[in-house]
Amino acid sequence: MTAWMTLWTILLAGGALGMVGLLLLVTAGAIRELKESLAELSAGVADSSDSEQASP
Amino acid sequence: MQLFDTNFTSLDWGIVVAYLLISIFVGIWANRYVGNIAGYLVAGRTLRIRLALATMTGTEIGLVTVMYSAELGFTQQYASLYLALYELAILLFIGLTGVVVYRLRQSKVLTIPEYYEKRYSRGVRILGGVMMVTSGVLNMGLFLKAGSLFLVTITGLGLGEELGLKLIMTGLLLLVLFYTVLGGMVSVVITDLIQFVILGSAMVIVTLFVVSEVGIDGFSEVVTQHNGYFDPTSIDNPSTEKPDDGIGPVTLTAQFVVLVVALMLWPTGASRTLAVKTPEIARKLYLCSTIPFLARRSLPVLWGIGAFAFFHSHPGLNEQFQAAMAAGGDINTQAAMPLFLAKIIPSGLLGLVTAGMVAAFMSTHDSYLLCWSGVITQDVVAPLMKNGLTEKQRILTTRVAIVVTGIMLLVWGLWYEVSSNLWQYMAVTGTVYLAGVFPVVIGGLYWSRSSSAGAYIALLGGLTGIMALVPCTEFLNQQITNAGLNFALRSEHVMLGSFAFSLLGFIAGSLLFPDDRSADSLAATEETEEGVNQ
Repeated sequence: MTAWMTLWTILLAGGALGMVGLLLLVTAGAIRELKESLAELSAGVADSSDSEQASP
Repeated sequence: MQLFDTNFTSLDWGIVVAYLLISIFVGIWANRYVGNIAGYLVAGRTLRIRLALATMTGTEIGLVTVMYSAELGFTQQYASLYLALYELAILLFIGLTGVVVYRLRQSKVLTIPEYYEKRYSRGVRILGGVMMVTSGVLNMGLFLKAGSLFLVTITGLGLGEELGLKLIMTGLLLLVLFYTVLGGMVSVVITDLIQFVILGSAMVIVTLFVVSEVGIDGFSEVVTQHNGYFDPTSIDNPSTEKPDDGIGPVTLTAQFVVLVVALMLWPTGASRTLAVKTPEIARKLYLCSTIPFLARRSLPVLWGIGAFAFFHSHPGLNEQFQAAMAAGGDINTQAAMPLFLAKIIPSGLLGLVTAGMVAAFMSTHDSYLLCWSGVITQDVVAPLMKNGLTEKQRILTTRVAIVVTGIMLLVWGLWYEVSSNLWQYMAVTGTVYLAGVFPVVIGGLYWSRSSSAGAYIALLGGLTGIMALVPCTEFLNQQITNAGLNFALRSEHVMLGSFAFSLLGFIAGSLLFPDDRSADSLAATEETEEGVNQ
């Protein structure tokens, strides 16, 4: 019982701490990357607006 | 205290409605960024590591994930955490080695069936697309019901009314359809990022309240006083009176096989792999995903265990809950966690938590709807059209497919009564696709003798997975009993049989009916030069 419960406790604590860490570390960078992606997509929309073609 | 008492007030409704309005606005706003099918389906492959990780988390922590994990926590307590352990180990392995995902991203395809055509033939692509959508829609069939059950039980809205659950299911579906149809992957990425923040915060808040309510001693008493289940290698679940209804070696094996293939090749995860900038980012994405995947499996299990401890320490409530389940209505073991949260989280925070869960519901639904409809357009309809489809026709077809798929989900969700736990249903329906895709993709990437004939056999072999649904295994067991045999077939036996059948069929078909490689590679080269699929 002790080994199993130790393992499960580590997993539960890891999940909780991991989620907190993820929120702190990823959020700001993800917002910056979203702005960059949208800028690239805007450029792509402008480029592709006249280039529609059929494909099989 | 009564079973359906809740702290949910008009303040909480205000928070949830404000969140929904923001989602609708984002759907409309994101439409301006959709210029072509690559922009619509994979956001133009512009995603970098943090954004991909945040959106993958938003997608993979769905409300259905929360519901089935919490249900397992309630019914199998700590032992159900073996799934979290499996996911952690498998993701670490994929993230460190890049096995499968690196080569798949290198192939520069939009979808997995597109890879089938590149490696095998157009027929394999179309069949693969049909099998993927069949499995995916079946798999998604109970998402609406599980999500609506959460909302009904936590808000108290429509409880006990015949139409309450159905109306909420319909309303949620319409909302998701609205902004997925409008914005495609661009709106999915933006809303997934918002949902990642709200959902992540909600998960941390709920965990703090659950631990505070139950206490460390309460979690310990689950095992020491309430016969909680903690050893998954034992087939007997001590918290129930029924013998041999726990996990055990066969289930452990079947779930390991399912998770290995699902984590590599489940279409929604793969679509995120295919949407990142480079193969190296695809590999890193898996390595970084270990954290959110661990959280999605472990935290809701903790809430389920908390609900188990809570109901056992409130015998009156437990009696009411057992009576509600026995009455045969909408209340089942999935409802334990939201009923528990509705009583321990104060008003205001409960609105934020519910908005987080609605976010979880929508982020999964939009990605899944987009994924299946993208496959219908790119891998079934377009290859069947003699003159192909223009970009505008592809986007229109995808939007129509989203609506049709949504209607099918609503009908299935209203009609099908799940007779096993929710995760079991998900694993079984997933097997229909996973059993076939495993040998076809991995063989295609790593075995030069893989052939189209082998791929056809493997993909069709996945259909045998349907026999693992509980009504089918009950029918098979009846036939076994009638034949006088002393053997009880479990869903896991059928799932493992499906994987074995597809794998062996793939190997035999490839060896017996090899492809004409020279003709295949010439055709593939010509198609690539013509810019097919883009």
